Amino acid sequence: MSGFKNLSIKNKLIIIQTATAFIVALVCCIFFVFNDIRTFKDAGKRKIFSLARIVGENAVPTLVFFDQDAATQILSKLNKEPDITEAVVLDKNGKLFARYAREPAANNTVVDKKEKTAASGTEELTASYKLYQENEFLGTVSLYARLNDLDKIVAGYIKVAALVLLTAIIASLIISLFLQRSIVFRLLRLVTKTKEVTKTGNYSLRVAGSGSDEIGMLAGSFNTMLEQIEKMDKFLKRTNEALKDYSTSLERTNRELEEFAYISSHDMKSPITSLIGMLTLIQQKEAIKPEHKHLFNLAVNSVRQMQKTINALNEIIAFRKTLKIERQKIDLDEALEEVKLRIHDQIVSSPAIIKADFSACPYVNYPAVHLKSIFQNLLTNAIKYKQEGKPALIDFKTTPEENFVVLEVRDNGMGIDMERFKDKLFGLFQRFHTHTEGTGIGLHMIHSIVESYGGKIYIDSEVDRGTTFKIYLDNAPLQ
Amino acid sequence: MKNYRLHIGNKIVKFFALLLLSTFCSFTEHRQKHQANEYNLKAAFIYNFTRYIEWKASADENEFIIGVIGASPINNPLAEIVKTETVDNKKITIKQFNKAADINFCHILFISQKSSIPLDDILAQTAGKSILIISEQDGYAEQGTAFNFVVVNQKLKFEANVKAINAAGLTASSQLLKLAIIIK
Repeated sequence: MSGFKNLSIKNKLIIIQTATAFIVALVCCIFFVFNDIRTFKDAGKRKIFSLARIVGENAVPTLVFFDQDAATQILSKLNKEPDITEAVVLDKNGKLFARYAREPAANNTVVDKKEKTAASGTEELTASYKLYQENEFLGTVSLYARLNDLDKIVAGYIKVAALVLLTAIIASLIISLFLQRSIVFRLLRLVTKTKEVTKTGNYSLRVAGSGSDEIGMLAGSFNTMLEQIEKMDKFLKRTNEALKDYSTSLERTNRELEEFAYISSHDMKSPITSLIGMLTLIQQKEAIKPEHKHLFNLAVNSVRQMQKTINALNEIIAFRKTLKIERQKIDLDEALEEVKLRIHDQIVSSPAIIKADFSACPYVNYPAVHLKSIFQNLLTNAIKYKQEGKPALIDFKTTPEENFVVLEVRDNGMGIDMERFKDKLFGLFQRFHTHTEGTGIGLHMIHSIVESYGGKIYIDSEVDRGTTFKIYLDNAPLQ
Repeated sequence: MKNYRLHIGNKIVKFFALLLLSTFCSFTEHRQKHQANEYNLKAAFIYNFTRYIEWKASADENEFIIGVIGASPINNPLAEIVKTETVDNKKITIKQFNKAADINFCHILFISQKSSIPLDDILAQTAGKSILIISEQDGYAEQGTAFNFVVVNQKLKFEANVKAINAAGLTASSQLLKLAIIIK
């Protein structure tokens, strides 16, 4: 049945029509054949009973006058009836009086015939007629017949039925060919048009539809749909165009801004360095009056702070230029060890206890510089924002998830008030703790890296309890 | 060929022997039995003829008369039939005639082999009357009786003289005539 489902409508229609015609013709043929066979049999039965009666009435005088020869002669006239195989006249005592057999046979055929009749059923017919004269029983006439023509008639019917069925099939095929013009041909045209539209993307095409039947309506709706799509397509193209322009202008502005930031931070670097040098010289020369020492120190601090900010800015700008570099297969344990060495002093003085379990997923395909940068920023953040009087406990763990390696980092630090800072977590120079030193670029950098490779960061944190970072590192295969 | 001729000869001899025997009334016990059988049949035939012969209806008749000429063994079986059977719901009576002049109206007249009355006298007496004359002597049908019993191949058959039947104003059914040996 699924084979039928996938056939084209043209073939389906042809099959349905042909099958219907075939079944109708077949049912009619079967009905007529059976009806005619029954009629033929009934007629045969009637004929044989009539013959038995006629023969019987004619045989009455022969029985009355015991004239077996005459009776035999009467029976022998049955030889013009090819169906009758045997005829007998029995006298009133049931004794054989006269007999006729189409094929000469033994004397006891009568008995045999009866058995045969009982055995083979329908085709053998027996007709018995009891003979009376003025209520006096004289004897019985029995005719045995076989409907020889039945086979021929059935064969003839089968031939006719085959002819009828063939005609029905041919007629239905011709009719379905005509139908195709009005249904299938138009549907096929519609299908061709849809394919053309799909292939070329040309929504200005229209189906030359006609007629108010379902196919005509379909063609009409298809055209309306195409019109709407065409409008929408044009609108989208226009909007897209505008968006592209906007995007390019944004990119340009962005680049200019970056350039500006770079230039300004770069250009500010040397004046500030020289300013710090001057201030140091001033201090060495002890040119400041002791009562103004306090003011001078404030100025030095401000300049130092400024230098830090400028340096951070330079760092970020330098980092941005390094994004989108090649990935490589990294052993997470090795990478972490290297980072720990880099910030060994901070770890020792904090102190921080670092645990790592990368057994579930020991490798990741990632740019080494950026992965180490992520590790370093996470570690320094955790150490910087640890709770007072407690050692920092930092747990690293990885799990694979689809195309990602999920790096989970849990600390017992002071935490972030998620309610307040939810929207500002990854902003540049955003700081959530004012009492500690920090430039506010750590999370921003992690976020920039992870996002630039198609990953994500989830932060779960509670004030005074600690923070958990879930970082989805895109683990795309190496090229 | 020889056998066949012998067979025919045998039959003729037998037939003549039978005729001779019956003519000379030299009955053995076996012969008596045979004769009784023969007359039973003849009586039955005579009765059955009534079913296939149409007499002109006469309203005042209330009996069907069978006349017998000569003392014949047929009387006994006829008497048996008469006891139980009727013709057109009419009682059957048997009349014995011994002289031609005695013969008055009857429906069937059986001329026995033992009749001593010349056939011509009987025919003259019955001419023009609706009487079915049945005989049992060779050649009688040719001479003018309606039916004449003969034995062919040891079987009882009857000759029919259609002219004589018609002359008597009787109608014989074609079914009956089919079984008869027609004499012209």
